[in-house]
Amino acid sequence: MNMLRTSSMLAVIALSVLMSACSDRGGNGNNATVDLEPIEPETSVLLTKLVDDMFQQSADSDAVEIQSLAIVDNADEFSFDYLIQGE
Amino acid sequence: MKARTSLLFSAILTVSATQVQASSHREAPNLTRLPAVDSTDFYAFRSYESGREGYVTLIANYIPLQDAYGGPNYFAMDPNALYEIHIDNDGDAVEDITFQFRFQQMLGAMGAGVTLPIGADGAKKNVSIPLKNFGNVDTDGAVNFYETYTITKVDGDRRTGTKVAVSDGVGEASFSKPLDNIGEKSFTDYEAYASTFVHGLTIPGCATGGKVFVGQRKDAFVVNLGKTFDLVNYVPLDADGSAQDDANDDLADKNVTTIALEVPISCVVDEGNNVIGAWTSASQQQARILNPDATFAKTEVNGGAWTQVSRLGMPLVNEVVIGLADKDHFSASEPKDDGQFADYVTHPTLPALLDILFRDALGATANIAPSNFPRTDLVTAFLTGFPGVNQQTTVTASEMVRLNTGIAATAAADQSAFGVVAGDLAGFPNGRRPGDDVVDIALRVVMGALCHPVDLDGDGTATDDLGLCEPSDAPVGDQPFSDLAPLDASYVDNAFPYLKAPLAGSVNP
Repeated sequence: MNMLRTSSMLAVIALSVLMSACSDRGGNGNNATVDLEPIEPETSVLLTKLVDDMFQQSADSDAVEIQSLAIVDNADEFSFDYLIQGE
Repeated sequence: MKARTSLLFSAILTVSATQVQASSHREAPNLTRLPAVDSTDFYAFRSYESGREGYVTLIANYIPLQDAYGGPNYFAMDPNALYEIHIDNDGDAVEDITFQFRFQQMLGAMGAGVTLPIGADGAKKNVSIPLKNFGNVDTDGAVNFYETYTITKVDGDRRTGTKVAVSDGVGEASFSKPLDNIGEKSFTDYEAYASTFVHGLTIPGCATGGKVFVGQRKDAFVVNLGKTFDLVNYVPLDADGSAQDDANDDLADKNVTTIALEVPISCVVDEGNNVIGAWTSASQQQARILNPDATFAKTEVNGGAWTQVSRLGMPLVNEVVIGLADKDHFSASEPKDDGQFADYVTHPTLPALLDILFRDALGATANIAPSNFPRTDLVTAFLTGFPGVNQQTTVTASEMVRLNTGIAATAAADQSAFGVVAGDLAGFPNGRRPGDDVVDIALRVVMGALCHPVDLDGDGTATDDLGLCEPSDAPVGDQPFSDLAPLDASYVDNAFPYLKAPLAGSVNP
C-alpha cells in the first residue's frame, strides 16, 4: 500500500515531464520576448506528382507529409508534364 | 488531351506522423468511413484458461456493430490493410515487438468462383453464384469464399525492425479464417466449426509456441450505447445494484471480428519489471487508385507507405476523452507522441459535461466534477499505470494497456468486474479482461473514485488510500456511477479465444 501511496508523487513527476514535453512554443516566461515560429509559405504541388511520390514510397517508409501542402488538382490537365520537363 | 489524362485518382491522403485513439466503436469521424479497419476493443491479460499460466492473451477486435444477418457478404477483413498488435516492454512508449496480420481472399473453385450449370440441356452455361456458401459449410464444405492470413513478428521498430514469419508449427505460414456465422442452415455446429480455426503457433525466438484465432465472435463489450450518447439519457447511478439490466446493453445483438493471440510471457517481457504496454493499430497504404473496371481480384491499386488510420489501447479514450477535433489525429498517432493530448487527460471535459447534465438530478447544489487540476489521478490511471501494480520501470506518460505479467491470473469464477479497485489485481486497469466492466470503472474514475479510499486489498472494505487526490476534490467520487449494463466474466468463455461464438444470422424455424 505504501508503494501505492507514492503514486501521487510519481504521477506529478510524470505529468511535469509530459507537460514540459508539449509546451515548447510558449517562450521563456519573460514578457520581453516572445518566440514565434516563422510562418512558412505553403508549398504548392501538383496532385499527380504527389500521388506519384506516394506510390514511389515503400510500404515501410515514412508517409508523405501533406498537412502544409497546397495541392493543385490538375487531374483534368495533361498530368505528366512534370515528368518530361527535364527531357 | 484530356482523354489521356483521365486518371481516376482517389488518393487516400491520410495525414501521418506528426499527428494522433478507445473501447471505440466508430469513435472517430474518419473511421466511420473505414469500418474494416475500425478497432473496437483491445484486451491484454494473463491467460486464465486452466493450464495456460505461462501465457498472455492479446485480443484486438475490429469491424464494429456487426448485425449477424449482414449477408450476403458479411464481414471480411480488409486485404489491403495492415493490422498490428504492438508491445512496449521497456517503458519508452515505443513498440519493441509487433505482430503484423495481413489478409488474403480467394473465391471457391480454386479462385474461379463456384458456378452452376444453367440453361436447357445441351446449352447450359456455367454461371457464377452470388453467395459465399452454396450448402452446409461445416459438414459439406460448400464454401465459395476463403480468407487466410499471414503473421509476421517484428522485433524493434514496426517498419524498420527485424521481421520473421510466424508459422503454425508444422511449417505452414498461412492461416485460415472461418466464415462468419451465416446461420443455422449453413452451419450444423458453428462453435465446433470455428474451433478448428484455432491454430498453434511457432514463433521464432520463443522457446514455446502460442495460439492464434481470427474470426467472428459475439462482441464482448457491453454498453448502454444509444442512451449514453444521447446526452446520457438516464441517471447513471446504481445505488444498490438493482438497476443493472442486460436489456441496457445495446451491443447484445452484435458481433465483431476478433484477432486473438496467445503468446508465452517469456516472449514479450524484457529485463524490466515484467510490465508490458500493448495496443493495436491498423494502417492502409497512403495512396489508392480505384479500378474503374473493378473485379473481385482488383478493385483498386494501393501504394506507398503504411499510414495508420486506427489505434486502440485503453478503452473509451478516443470515444469520450479526446475532443472531436482531434479524434482522427489521435487515430493516426503513436503513444510516444501522446504529450500533445495531455490537456484532455489533465483537464477532462466529461466530468464537466456530467455536471451540466446531472447536478440537479443528483440533488447537488455545487459542481459535482472533481476539482483537482491537473488530474493526476487520471494521468496515473490512463497514462502511467499504478506504481507497484502496472507501472513500468521507465515511465513515459502515454496511452496503452499496461499489464503486469508478474501478477497471477484470477480464475474466471473469482474475477471482479471492477478489477484493481475491487482488490482483483489481475483485472483492469492492470491489463484488461473481456469481463471487466470498463464503462462503469471509467465513469467512476473520471468522477473522482481514485480520490476516495478504494478496496485495493480485496478485503471487502474501501479503506485503501491511493494518495492521488483528496476526497474533498471529488464530491461524488464515491458514488456508484454506472451505465446500468452489467458485465462480468460469466459473459465470456474461460478458454482461448475467450470471446463467445458469434450470434447466428438466422435460426432454424
